[in-house]
Amino acid sequence: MSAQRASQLVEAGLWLRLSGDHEGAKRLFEQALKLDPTNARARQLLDSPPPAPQQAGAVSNLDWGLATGHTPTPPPVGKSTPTPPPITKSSSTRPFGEGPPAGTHTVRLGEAEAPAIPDVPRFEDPHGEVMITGGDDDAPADNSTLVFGLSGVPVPPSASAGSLPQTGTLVFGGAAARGQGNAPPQVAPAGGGTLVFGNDRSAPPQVAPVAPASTLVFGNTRDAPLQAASAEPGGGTLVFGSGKETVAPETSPVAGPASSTLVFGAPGQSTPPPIAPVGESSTLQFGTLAREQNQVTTDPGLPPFAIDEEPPVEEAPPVKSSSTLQFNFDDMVPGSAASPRAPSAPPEEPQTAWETSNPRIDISQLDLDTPGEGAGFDLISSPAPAPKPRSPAQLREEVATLLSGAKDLLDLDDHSGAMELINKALELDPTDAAALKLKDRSERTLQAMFESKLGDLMVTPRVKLKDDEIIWLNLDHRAGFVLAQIDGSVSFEDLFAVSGMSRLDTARILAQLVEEGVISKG
Amino acid sequence: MAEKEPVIGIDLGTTNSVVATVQGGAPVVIRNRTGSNLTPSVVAVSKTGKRLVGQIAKRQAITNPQDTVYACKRLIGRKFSSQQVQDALKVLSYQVVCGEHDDIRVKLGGKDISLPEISAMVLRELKADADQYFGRPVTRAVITVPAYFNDGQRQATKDAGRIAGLDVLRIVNEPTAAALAYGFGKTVNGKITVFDLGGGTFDVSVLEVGNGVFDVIATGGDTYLGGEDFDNRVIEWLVMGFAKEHGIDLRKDRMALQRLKDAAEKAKIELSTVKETQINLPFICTPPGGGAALHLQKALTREKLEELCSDLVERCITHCDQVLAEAKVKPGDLKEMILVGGMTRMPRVVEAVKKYFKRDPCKGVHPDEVVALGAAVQADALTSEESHVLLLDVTPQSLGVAIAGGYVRRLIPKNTTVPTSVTELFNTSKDEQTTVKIMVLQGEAELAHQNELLGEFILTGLRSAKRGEVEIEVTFEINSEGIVSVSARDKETGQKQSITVTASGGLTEDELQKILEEQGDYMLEARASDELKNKRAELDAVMKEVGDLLPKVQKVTEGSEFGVDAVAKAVKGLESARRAREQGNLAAVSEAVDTLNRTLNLFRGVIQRIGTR
Ligand SMILES: Nc1ncnc2c1ncn2[C@@H]1O[C@H](COP(=O)(O)OP(=O)(O)OP(=O)(O)O)[C@@H](O)[C@H]1O
Ligand SMILES: [Mg+2]
Repeated sequence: MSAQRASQLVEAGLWLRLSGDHEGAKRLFEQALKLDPTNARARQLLDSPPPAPQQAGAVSNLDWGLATGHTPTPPPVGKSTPTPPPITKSSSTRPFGEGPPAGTHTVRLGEAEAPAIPDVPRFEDPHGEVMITGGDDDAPADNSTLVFGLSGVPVPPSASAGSLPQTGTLVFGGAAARGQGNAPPQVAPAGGGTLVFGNDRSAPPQVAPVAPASTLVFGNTRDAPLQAASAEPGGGTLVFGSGKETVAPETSPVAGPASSTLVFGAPGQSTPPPIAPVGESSTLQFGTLAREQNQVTTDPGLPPFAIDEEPPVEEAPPVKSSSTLQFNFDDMVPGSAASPRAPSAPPEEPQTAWETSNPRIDISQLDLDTPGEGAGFDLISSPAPAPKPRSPAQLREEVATLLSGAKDLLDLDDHSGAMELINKALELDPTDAAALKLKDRSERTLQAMFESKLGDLMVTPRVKLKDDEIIWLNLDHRAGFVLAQIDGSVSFEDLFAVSGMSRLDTARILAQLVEEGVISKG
Repeated sequence: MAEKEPVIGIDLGTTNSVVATVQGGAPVVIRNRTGSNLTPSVVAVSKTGKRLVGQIAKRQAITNPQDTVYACKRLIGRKFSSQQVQDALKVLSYQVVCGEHDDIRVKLGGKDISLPEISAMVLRELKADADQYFGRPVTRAVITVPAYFNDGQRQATKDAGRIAGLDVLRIVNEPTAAALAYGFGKTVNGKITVFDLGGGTFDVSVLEVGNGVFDVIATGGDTYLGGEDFDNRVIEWLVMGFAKEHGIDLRKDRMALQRLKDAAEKAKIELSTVKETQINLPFICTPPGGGAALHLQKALTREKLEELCSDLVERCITHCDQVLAEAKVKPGDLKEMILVGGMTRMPRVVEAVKKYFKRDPCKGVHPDEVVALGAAVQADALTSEESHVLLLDVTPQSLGVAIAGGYVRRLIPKNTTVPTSVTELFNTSKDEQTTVKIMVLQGEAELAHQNELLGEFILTGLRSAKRGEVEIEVTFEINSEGIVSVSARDKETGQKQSITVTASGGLTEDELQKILEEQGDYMLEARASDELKNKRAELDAVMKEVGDLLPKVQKVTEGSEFGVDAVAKAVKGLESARRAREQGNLAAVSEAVDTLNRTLNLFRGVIQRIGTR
C-alpha cells in the first residue's frame, strides 16, 4: 500500500520537477522515501540534480503521456513551462509567505535567539510574528544587520558598511513595513554598534558612533534625525522612546571620553539634541514631559511604539564630572493605575512600564566592542550578583528549616503561608521528597478550601458589580481574566476548564472574587 | 398519520455551525444548549483533561492553543502534502501530522485524531441539540459544503456525519442551500450570485437556477479572508493604542490576547447596529516589574472600524470581479443577490456589495443562518412524499484523463447531473507503444499534475505499431451513488481494463469502522461522565457532612479507644475520597461514597447515643 503510494508520489514529483517546481518535487520524493525507504527511484532522484530545462524530452520516459486525444488538444504554446497554481494569500494571515530578498537570510524566531535583553519591551510586527533577517552573506562576520520583527520590504544591503570590521546593527521591530519606507542602510562604522529597538521605517541611517561608542535606540525612530553620538572613545548614547518626525537636524553631540547619555522617552519638536555630557558625567532622563499636545494619529500599520509628540526637553547642561539623574513623572497618567488603593509611587520608584522594566544589558552579550576602562556603559554593564554557592549540608539545613516552618504554619491553618515556605524550599532543592509531599498535601487542602467557598461547582456564577465599580477593585490581570469569563453562561466547573490555569490557581481566584463580593456563588 | 421522522440540515462552517429543521412547512434554526443559534466549530481538550466543543472551546482557544482545534474545514479531506495544507500549517497553532496515506491528523489531548473525527465532535454537539429539540434521536441529515469542495472533501464530510451517528442523505453546496432557503428554483429562473463572507473564508458564486437545477457556474474567493481579519484589525488598533499609552505589548500575554479577541469581535458585531461602542477590559495586564493592573478602556466608532478594515472589504469586491468575469456575466445580468455569512451584517460590507452589484440583496433570512435553513429545506424535500424541490446531484468537479504533454482531457465536465456516462477515443503517442497508462484525474486545471489523481491503471498488449495508429476507447461512468468507473478498451483486440474509484475522505473503510467502534466506547464514556458528575456531587455532600461531624465525634469520644480508631478511619476515608474525586474514576468515586456513607451512619449513631447524653 505505502510502496504503491510512494511510487505515485515519485511520479507526481517527476511532474513537478518537469514543471520547474524542484522544491515541490524534492518534497514529494522525500515523502515517498518516508513511506517506502526501499524506493530506489526516489532516492536516486533525490540525489540526482534536476535536469536542465532543455531536457524536456525526458517526458517520453515518463509513461504518463502515452495517449493523445483523438481530438487532440494541443498544448497551448505559451504554457510550455507550467507553473504550479497560484496560491491566494492574505497578507494579514501569512505575512511571511514570500521569501526574503536575495542576500538576506531569514530565520524564524526559535531557530535563532535574540541577544538577551531582559525585560525591555520589544515590539514585534502587528501580525505577532518575529523574524530575524540576517545581513548579506558575504559581509564580514562582524558586520551584520540583524532585524528583529517585521521586515516587509527588503532590508537594504549594508554595503557601505561592508568593509568595516567590528560593526553591528541590531534592529528590533519593524524595518520599513510598507509603502515608501525603504529603510536606509544601517551603517555602523568601525567599532561602533547601533541597536535600534522599535520601528525604524524610513529612518535615516543610524550612524553609530566611532569606536567604541555605541548607540542604543529603544522605540521608534521613524523619520528621526540621527540619534548619533559621535563620541570619542568611551561615549555612548542610549535613547529610549521615539524620535520625532520634524525634529530639527541635530548636530552630533560631542561627548568626551567616558561620557554617556541615557535618554528615556522621546525628544520632541525642536528638541535640543540629546547632548552627551562632556567629560566623565552621565545624564539619565526618565520619562517624558506632559502630554497635553499629544495628538497621536493612529496608523493602522505599524505605529510607533512610544509616544510621538513631546514637548522640548529642557535640560540644564550637565555639570562636568557629575552625575545627574532626572526623573520626569508628568508622563504618568492619573487613573491609569488600576487601583486607587495602590500606593502612589515614591519618586524613586518610577511606575511606568518602561521604567519599572528596568532593563539590564550585558554588554558582552551584545557583542559590542567596549574598552575596559572608562567606557560609557558603566551603568548597564554590571552583571547581576551571582548567588553565593551553598554547601549541600547548608542547603539541606535550610530546606529543613523552611519545611518545619511550613509545618508550623500548616498547624495554624495558614496554608497560603505554608505554601510560600514550601515553594522556597523547593526552589533550593526541587527534588526534596518531603517538600514535594508537603506541597501536594497543602495544595489539596487549599484547593478543597477554595472550592468549598464556591459551593456547588455546577452553578453558574454571576458578576454582582457594575463595570464602573469593578475598576476600583484591587485585582491582578489573572483575576481580571477569570472575571471577564464570567458572563452568566459558564459554570464554575467550566471556568476551571477555560481559565488556562491550574485548578488550584483558578479556585483561589474564584474564591477571592466570591469573598470580596464581586461574583455570586453556587 | 404517523409523525414524520425528524430530519435536519447542517451548515458545518469554518468558524460556526448551525443546525435547522423544517417545522410546519417553514425552516427554523434549532438553538444550542447555551441558547445561541450558532455553535462555534471549535473543539478542545482543556488543561484539566475535559473535552470541550463550541462556545466554551472557543473561549479558551488562545490560552490553550495547542489543544484547541479550529478551522478544521480548511484541512478536511485534503492531502497532507497539498499546498493548501502546507499553507494552513503556517498559521495553525495546533499540531498537524501526516497520517498513513498522506491524510491529515491533528494532535489533541495527546492523541492523533483524524479530521472527520474532529468535525464529528461538532456534528455530535449539533445532533445532541436537535435530539433535545425533538425529544428523540435524529439520525438523518443534509450537510452543506463549499461549492469548490472536491469528492474527497465531500466524502470526508460524509464520514464525519457517519462518525457522529448521522445518516447523511446528501451533501449540498452552500450557495445552493442559500438559494433554496429563499425558495429560488421555483420562483427564480436565471443567474444569481451568492456573496458569503464568514468568519474565516470568503466565497462568491454565480449560480444558474431553474427547474430545480442549481448549477454553480463559477465560484471563487479567498480561504483566508473573513471576520477574523476584521477582528484582528481591531485588536491591532487596541494593542497599538495601549502600547503608546503604557509601553506594553498586550499580545505577549495569552490571557490579554484572548480577552482582546473576544472584545474585538463583540465590538465589531455591536457596531453593525450602533455607531459607537465602549471596549472595557479591566485588569488587562500587570505591568512588568509589578504594580497595579492596568485597564484598557476605549471607545470605537463605526467610522473607525470601517477605516481599519476598508482594504478587506475592497478585497472582497476584487474577488467578485474575478468570479463574474469567469462566469462571463455582468452585475446587471444577475437576477438576485444573496448575502451569506455573519460578516455581511456589517453595514459597510452591504454598501460595498450593493454598489458593486447595483442591486439590493435579498432580505428576510439571517445571513449566518441561511445556509442551514436551505439544508433543512433540502433534507425535508428528500424525505417528503410530495417533494417540492428536486435537487439533482451533480458532479462537483470535472473528470478526465492525463494526456501527452502533461495535460488533461476532460471527459465529464463539472456540474453534470448523475448518473452519466461518456466514451471517447484516444491514440498511442509513440511508435511501437504496447502499453498505455490511464490516469483518472479530477479538477479544473489544465495541467495534469494540478488536478487530483483519483486512480490509474495500465492497459497492456497493444499491437506494436506507429504512433497514432492504435485506438483506445476510454469510458467514464458515474452511477447515482457518485461512484466513478473508468474503463479502457483496445478497439482492435477487445482487450479491456477498468478501475472503480470511490472518493476517499482520507480514512479507509477499516479505519472508519474502527473509529465507529471506539465511538461506541466514547458514548458509553460520555454517559459515564454524566454519572460521574452525579456521583461526585453525592460524594461532595457526604464529605461535607462527615467533615462537619468529625470534630463533634472527636469531642464526644475523646479518650476512648473506639473514638481514636473511628476518627482515624474517617480522616483516612476523607482523604482517599478526595483523591478519588480528583482522579475522576467512577468506580473509585462510588466506592468512596459507600465508605463515607458507612462512616456517616456510624457517626450519626455515635452522636445520637453518646452526644445527647
Ligand atoms: N452583526 C454582525 N456584524 C458583523 N459581523 C458579524 C455579526 N455577526 C456575526 N459576525 C461575524 O461573522 C463571522 C461568522 O460568520 P459565520 O457564522 O457565517 O461564519 P462561518 O460560516 O462559520 O464561516 P466560514 O464562511 O468561514 O465557514 C464572525 O467573524 C462574526 O464575528
Ligand atoms: Mg459559512
